[in-house]
Amino acid sequence: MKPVRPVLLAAAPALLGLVPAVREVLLYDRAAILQGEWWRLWTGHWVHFTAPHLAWNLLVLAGAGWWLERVRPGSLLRYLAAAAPMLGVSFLAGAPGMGTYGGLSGLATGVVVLLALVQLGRDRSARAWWLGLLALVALKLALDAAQPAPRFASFGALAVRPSTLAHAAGAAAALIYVLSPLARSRAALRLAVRPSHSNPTANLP
Amino acid sequence: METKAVSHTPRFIAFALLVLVLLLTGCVGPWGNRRHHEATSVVQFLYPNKDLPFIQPQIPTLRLPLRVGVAFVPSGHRGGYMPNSGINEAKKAELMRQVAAQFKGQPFVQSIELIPATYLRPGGGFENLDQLRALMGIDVVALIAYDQTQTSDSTEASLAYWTIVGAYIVEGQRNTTYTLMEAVVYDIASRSLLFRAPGTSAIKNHATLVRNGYELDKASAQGLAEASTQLTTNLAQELELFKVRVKEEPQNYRVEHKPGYTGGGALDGSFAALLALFAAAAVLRSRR
Repeated sequence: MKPVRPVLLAAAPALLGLVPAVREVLLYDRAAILQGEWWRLWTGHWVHFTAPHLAWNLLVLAGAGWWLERVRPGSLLRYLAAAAPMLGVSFLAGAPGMGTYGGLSGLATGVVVLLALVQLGRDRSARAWWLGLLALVALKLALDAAQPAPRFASFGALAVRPSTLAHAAGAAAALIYVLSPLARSRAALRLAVRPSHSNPTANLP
Repeated sequence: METKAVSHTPRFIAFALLVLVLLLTGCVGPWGNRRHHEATSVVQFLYPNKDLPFIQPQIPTLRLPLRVGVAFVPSGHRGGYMPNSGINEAKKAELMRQVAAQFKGQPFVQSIELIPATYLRPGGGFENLDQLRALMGIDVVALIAYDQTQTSDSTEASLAYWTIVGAYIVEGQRNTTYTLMEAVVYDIASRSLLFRAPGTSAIKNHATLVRNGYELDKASAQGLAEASTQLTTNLAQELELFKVRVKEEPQNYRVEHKPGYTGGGALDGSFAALLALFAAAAVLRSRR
């Protein structure tokens, strides 16, 4: 599968999430999830509140996802499928006050971290670069956590509070994914994709 | 002698009636010179008792999403109620709806309550607002006040009024109507002013003596309409500035989220740009 296809598959549903009627059904809604609407654990990430909100998230997800697909085909969709509910569950446990949530940034951050982790194992000559990227993400997480008051950037509205937990959970989900049998299983890789552009023998560290 | 006395009496009565009519047409002065002032004051409402120490505002804690109340400041002083004559309840309700509409579009607003005039006491102060907070569950209140001054002076052309016909056709009255309207938004719990938005209007016109009252009433209504339109525009701008201030001055505004808030997963442009730079550098490096 060419890298562009999984990227499109990952990104396209986010456009649907901009439609208000669809948004209501897909949004992460704590009360609805607790009443059994469990699909929202996955779909909530593809809901966005404004076009700029969507644009920045998609830009990072598509860029990092495309690169990840080139070096490790099939990883993007498998990571998203596995990490989305992990983030949702982390919201249920770690942010009980958050009634609703939307946005791909947690997963996008995770894809960036996953790309760095994959590249660390694949290209040892560029370790410093990828360690630098991980440090950059860690710095962002630290800065977000150190904010004295909730920030409202990118939304144009006060009531939508950027979730720092989403970014941390996305990064943690990438680490769990890398360490999990899912990432190591070559059988799963063959079932999911048919690599064409990269070296499928490259293993994760 | 008797004939002369009979012929003078109707003229005298007519002249007396004319003077009476002209005096009645204007509030003060023989040709309708008048000054009319009508106002409601936020300061008088919030701080009615000069003997009490000034209430020191605290740093406001905005618990989002907010429940906003919109109310007209009652006129009069503590212990008495003085109904307004220039702006009736229908106009007040319309203006409150306009102000409410500015808040309605904001996602940080949970609900808006239009507070009836009977819920506010003249000079009720923050105690009255505390009661509203408990009664209606509002966090923030937008108080609307206005101040209108109308003056009507006779010009040199008013000399024509002596001809009686001149009072009907000569525009010898110079009228000015100044209106100031203001919406002040208070966080009730902290007693602090969040922002204010003014609207002003100045109308100058001329009128005949007979139509002067009508023209003044018309100018009063027009002044209130113009000021309220400007107030609504300014309120929208002030709301935007307030949002920026909340972001940029966390030392002056505490923001908390009530349970049930909406979270957003957002990456900002600067982070995306950093990643893009990093990617570009990595690609360049790999090609060497």
